[in-house]
Amino acid sequence: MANHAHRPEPRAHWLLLGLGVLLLLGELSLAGFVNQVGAEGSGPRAPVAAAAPAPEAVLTGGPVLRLGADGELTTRSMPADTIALTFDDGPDPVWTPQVLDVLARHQARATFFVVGSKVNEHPELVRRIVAEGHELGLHTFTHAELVTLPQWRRELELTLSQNALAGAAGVNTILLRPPYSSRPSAMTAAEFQAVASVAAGRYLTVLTDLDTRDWANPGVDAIVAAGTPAPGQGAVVMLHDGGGDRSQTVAALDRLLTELSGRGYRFETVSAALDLASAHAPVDRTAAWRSHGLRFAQNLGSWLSSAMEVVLVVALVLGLLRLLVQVFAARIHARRAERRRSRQPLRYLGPVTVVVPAYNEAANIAATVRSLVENDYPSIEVIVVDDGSTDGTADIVRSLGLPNVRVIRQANAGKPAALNTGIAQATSDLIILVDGDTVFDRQAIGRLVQPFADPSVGAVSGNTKVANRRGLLGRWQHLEYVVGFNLDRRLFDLGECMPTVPGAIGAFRREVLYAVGGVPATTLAEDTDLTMATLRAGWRVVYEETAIAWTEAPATLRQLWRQRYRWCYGTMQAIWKHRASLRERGPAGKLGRRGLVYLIAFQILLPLAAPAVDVFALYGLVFLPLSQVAGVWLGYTAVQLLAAGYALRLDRERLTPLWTLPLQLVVYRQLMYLVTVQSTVAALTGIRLRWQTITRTGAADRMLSEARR
Amino acid sequence: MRPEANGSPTGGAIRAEPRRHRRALRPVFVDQSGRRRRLVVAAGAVVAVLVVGALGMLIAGLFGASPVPLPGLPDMGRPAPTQPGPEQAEPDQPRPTQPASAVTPTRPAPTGPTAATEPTAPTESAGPVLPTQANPTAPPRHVPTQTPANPGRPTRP
Repeated sequence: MANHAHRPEPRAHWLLLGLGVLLLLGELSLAGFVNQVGAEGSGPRAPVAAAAPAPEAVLTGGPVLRLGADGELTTRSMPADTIALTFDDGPDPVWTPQVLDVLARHQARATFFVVGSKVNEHPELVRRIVAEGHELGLHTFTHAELVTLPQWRRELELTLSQNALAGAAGVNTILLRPPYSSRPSAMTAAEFQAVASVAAGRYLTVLTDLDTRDWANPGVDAIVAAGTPAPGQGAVVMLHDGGGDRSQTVAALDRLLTELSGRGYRFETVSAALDLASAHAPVDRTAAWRSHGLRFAQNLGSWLSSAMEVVLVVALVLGLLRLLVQVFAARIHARRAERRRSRQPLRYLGPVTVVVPAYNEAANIAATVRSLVENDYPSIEVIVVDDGSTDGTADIVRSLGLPNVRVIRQANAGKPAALNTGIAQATSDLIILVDGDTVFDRQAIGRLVQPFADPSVGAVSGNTKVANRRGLLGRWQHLEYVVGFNLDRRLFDLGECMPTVPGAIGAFRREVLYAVGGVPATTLAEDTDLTMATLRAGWRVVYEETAIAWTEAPATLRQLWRQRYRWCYGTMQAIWKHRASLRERGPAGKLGRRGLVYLIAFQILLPLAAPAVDVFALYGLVFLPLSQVAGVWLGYTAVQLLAAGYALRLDRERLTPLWTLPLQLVVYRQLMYLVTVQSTVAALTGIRLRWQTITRTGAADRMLSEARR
Repeated sequence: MRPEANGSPTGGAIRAEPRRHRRALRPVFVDQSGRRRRLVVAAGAVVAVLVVGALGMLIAGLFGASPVPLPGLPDMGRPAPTQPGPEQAEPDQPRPTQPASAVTPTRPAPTGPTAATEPTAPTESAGPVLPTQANPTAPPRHVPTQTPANPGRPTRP
């Protein structure tokens, strides 16, 4: 394998994934930002009790404020007999058209203070507003209360709003009405400072003379009364065309226009009433493009956030369902196994051959072979196949001088080939396949072959345990193994769809191995591939949890990455190779429709969706109520802890490592799903992978003897 | 890994896969021709362009909005309810013309040295110069706006 030329591993997908994550985060944030949009009478309103009032010039001045770039303040009121009708919180697809219709009937002009995010949602309404001679003003992007915002948010609110207007109507505006504002006399010093910080030199701030409070739906009469100025006086009248049911506003508007025009009032836009040129300024092409970008981004963000909610719910439900079914199945399996063991004592089922493929396993091989020979089963033959080791693995075994241990050397040809060499030399009908770094429990062989008393059983999976449980990484893997073997594998056993007999400890009938053509070499997960082939050949594959082998788990993230990359990619290869089983009948169909579907859902699709889930979690921390985020997380973690705790108990393990489980949320979880991403890309591109071994230190044996003490 | 490199005497039974054995001897997923790799790279490049484009749109929307010049408030023949101090000069400012209009009929004689460099009038887009930057001490620039129909006022867009 190593001799063949390899293309470099693909890397560009990491850039793509990073960009995608960045985009998702940005779009979700924009959507979260937009979702906070309120309207008058909704959302939090900062308490104004005991607030210092604005400067005297504001309190007693007119409703239109001009702040020069140098901070100079001028105010104006409406001329006599002139009313500037103003509508806030729109555009609204239901009420804005009705308001426009009423205005058109009376040939009145008005000013619409629109919410930027709603402009992006209904640009056509804004175009109609402008086309019918009305004017636009800013009302922030999310109907935010300026005084509560940091300066950058205030700037952003107005920039986004101008961009939205530019995209919808091709104009920018110089008019601004701060949300939650009212008459000048009601302004506080803080509110004035907030307005001044964004409006100075850039916007005319339009407050009101007559605040109809129509957003509270006080009744048509009340709105008309509140909107009627003292005889002869001009006024800015504040109404709302968005943010709720505005039918009272529409009715009141009609009456106001009828009554007041009868008294000789003119209805003008704010700028016309003040004898200004238009409040609108056309935008250049760059600004128009920018604004189309903003609208596209807002639409995409809103779509993505809805899609993410669906993904999240599906992932959560699937995850919980999986745990539930696993625990339920494990309970049934454990009870059955208990009953069987109490009925049947250990039996001798004929001689057993153990095949140990070994490539540079000098650190572990002596302990492995000794643990096999010392097993208390009457007839054990051990065949060590040295697959071209360069570290004297074969010599170490020979120097042990053990009877019933044979060493076969071959040029390096890969693990499947080494296994096949040993299988071909085996004399027994029962063959156990063992990794060169695995140490067997004294009872393991005897226990492992017991299920062969049933002639329909073709293969048996043992129970692998992590020997090196030091550190976070060791504990994480220990937990993963215990859960994988005690929940997943028992479920597979009940469902007759065991996808993998682990290479560390598995037993096969010789006739099965011959029937399926030996250990296949076309996938990197030869154990999975072989197990699937066994099931498809019509044999049963069962789990014997009392047959325990100790393995040395990768001790560094780099080694873990290599191991999992090989497993994940190999599992994908095996699924693809045996995909026909999805449509097959009998035992093969069970493998396909149960085992493969399970693997595809939980080992491929969910991990591939996991980066997006993590992004959504980040978004949730910022934009969702903390109690909701914490509730979901705590609930899910609690269920996971319960399931893992049950698995530990089934295996008679201590519960102490459970504290590391919530920490899997960082590093471990990411490593697991990034491996799936890498494997998927490797599978899609069709590149050839290197077989990657991990560096052995002999820790399995040392740890094991410690663990036994 | 490759079966042809498999030197072990495993016997025919172990070698032969029942069906499609030629295909079965090749590692799953591996595409010797490299065609699939090129396809995936091309598809990835397309997706990357789309993602970068969407990111660009998102970021562009957060910036911009060239400033619109803020006009002074015309004195409408009666004092504003309050005249707090120094902004007396405010109404004397020339009203800026619509940025798009090339002619500036309302603008009277040049207002001193600053007027020569004032870019708002000829440029097509809204210039960054605010009217307040004009020399506020120039006395004769007050345009009476008593007449409702101001001839110099551009039509509303």
